[in-house]
Amino acid sequence: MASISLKNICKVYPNGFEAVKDFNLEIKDKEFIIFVGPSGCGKSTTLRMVAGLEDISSGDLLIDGDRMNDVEPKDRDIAMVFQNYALYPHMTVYDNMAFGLKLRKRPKEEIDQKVREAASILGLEAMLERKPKALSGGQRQRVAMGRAIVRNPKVFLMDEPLSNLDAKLRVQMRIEISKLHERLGATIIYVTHDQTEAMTLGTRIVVMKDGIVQQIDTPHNLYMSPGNVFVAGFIGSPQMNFMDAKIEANGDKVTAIVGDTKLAVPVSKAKSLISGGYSGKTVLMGIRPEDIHDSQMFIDTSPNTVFDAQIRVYELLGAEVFLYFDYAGVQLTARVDPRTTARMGDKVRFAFDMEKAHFFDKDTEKTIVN
Amino acid sequence: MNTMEEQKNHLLEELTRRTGLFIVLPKEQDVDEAQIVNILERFLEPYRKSLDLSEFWLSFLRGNLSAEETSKSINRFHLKEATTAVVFLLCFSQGVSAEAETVLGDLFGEGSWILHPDENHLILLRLLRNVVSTEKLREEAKTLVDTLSAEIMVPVSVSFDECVERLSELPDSFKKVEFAENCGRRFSPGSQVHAYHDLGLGKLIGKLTKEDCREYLEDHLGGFRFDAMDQELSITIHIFFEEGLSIARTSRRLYVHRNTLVYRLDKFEKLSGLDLRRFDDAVTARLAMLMETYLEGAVD
Repeated sequence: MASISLKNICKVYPNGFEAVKDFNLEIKDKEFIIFVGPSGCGKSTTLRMVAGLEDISSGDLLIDGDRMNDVEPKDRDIAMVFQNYALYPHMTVYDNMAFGLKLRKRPKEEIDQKVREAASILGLEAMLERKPKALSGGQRQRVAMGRAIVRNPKVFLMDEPLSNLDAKLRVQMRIEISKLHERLGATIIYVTHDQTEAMTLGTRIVVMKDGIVQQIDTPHNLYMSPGNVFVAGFIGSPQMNFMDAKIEANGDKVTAIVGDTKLAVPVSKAKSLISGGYSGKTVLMGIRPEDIHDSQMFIDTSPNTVFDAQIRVYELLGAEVFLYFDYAGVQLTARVDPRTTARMGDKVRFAFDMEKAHFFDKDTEKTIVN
Repeated sequence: MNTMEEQKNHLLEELTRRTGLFIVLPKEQDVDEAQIVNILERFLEPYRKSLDLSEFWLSFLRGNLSAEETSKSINRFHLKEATTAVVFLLCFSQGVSAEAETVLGDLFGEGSWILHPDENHLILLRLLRNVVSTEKLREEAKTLVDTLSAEIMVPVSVSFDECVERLSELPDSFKKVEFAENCGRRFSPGSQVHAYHDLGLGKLIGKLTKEDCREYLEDHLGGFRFDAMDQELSITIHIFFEEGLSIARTSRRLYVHRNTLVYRLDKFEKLSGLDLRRFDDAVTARLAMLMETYLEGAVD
């Protein structure tokens, strides 16, 4: 198995476009690292540089301490799984999985052993003689995984492998990939634009935007302590609510004024706002949908964070309800208990859980305090 | 030494390649394999003096055949003018490997030809039952890239044009595919799939002569060159264009104060004489940037 170091990796194309800027990351053996970000953020380019399919413009790539920049892709001991995989239509599952090893002219016995091992890991033993036509979408995806597993590589690189599957199958395959990571004990780098996939699969997540790493952290820390507005908005669904808040300090007591409402800021957050010199300034306040409450009990215990709003949209998702409403000139979303009595058109009283509020600098968009 | 049966199979494959005919021989116990091999050899002899089907396709796509030669070959290979087809051009920057041909051969069976025009390219010609949408073709092109990348781990790009519905349209379509590869490589170097219909401004620039481009650059920029700008200014200009000339969005994306961005745009104006905040100047600069990129890769 393998550790991977990316040191000051940059990718500049001949037309001057900088696709990846100063990317630094230490990946430990057996880690499941996710590169996540919107389309064009440089995540696939970085993965392709690790694979050797794209030249590294500057910086160093090390696998197990060995510099890999000039090593041929096939000699890097990695295997890739992509979104648009094709199975050989005239070959059986067995032959599809064996194909890569046959191309590498591995002995028959070794091929047979590795194909059967991979089939057992993936639960494909009973399907080895079937042709791709006779497989479901999930089974085909498993065969594509199998083609990578038989190579027994140090590192697996996966580029949006589930993007072509329907929503239900994606959830199933997500669980399978997670189990696979446990069983193989392999180092995996996984690229996705889907933050739910990133949060559920990764041991650590690299959030990227415009070729720049925004934050590298565990799923929990990214959610609870985002480093800037972009990460705060990208991680979490529905996304975090943002609104302008004017900060007023009176001694060590701080109030955030949002619209007409004066919200008491907890002492722990107040300190950072005062020491950062934000008193009298407008900052960006972020609050997650689950931290806006409509329950009477919460409202009674948080009298300094209460406001009223009219519900524009009511969405029942079964285990939870999303309420959409306008407040202080922005549209907010609250995630509340399905037993709520609030319905579309109702005027409802809410309270922010200010202990969970996040404050960001409006100019730099960096976090002041989480 | 091949067995008689292997020789027979080899000749049957050659027969299909050279004539377009596909022959299935009955499996009988007491067939004289040697006699069949002999008949096949004699049958193939005249055909060996002319193009085989793969050679025909390659010459045809490149527009190297006269109308008479084309017509004769179409008859000889039992092809029909009313044929739906699509051409994919695969570019292997590190050279075509035998493995790449094996992978493609196994992915696409009957009705597809893999042609080897030079050491860096393969052509995948597919005869189709129906017209396939550009979106589907794009997916197929991505699948080619992903499958080759996963199986043999080589950098590859794929260019394509829309389907044609008449065989005689194929040479023009192939020219468009070659053009898409040439422009795509220059103007979208990070992309592995280049569709002729997606080339945008690159399609216009790519059709100009090098002289036209040089003249335009001289007229509008004098001695200024984009590639002589420092990296910071170069990135700023690129992102300013990507963000639709919006000061607010560009400064946010670059994490710089708007005054810093305005200072950089002023600096660019001093160097080039073009104020990118003015629409006309922005268009002039955008075209000039593309022309400069085009000229960098052009061979005199």
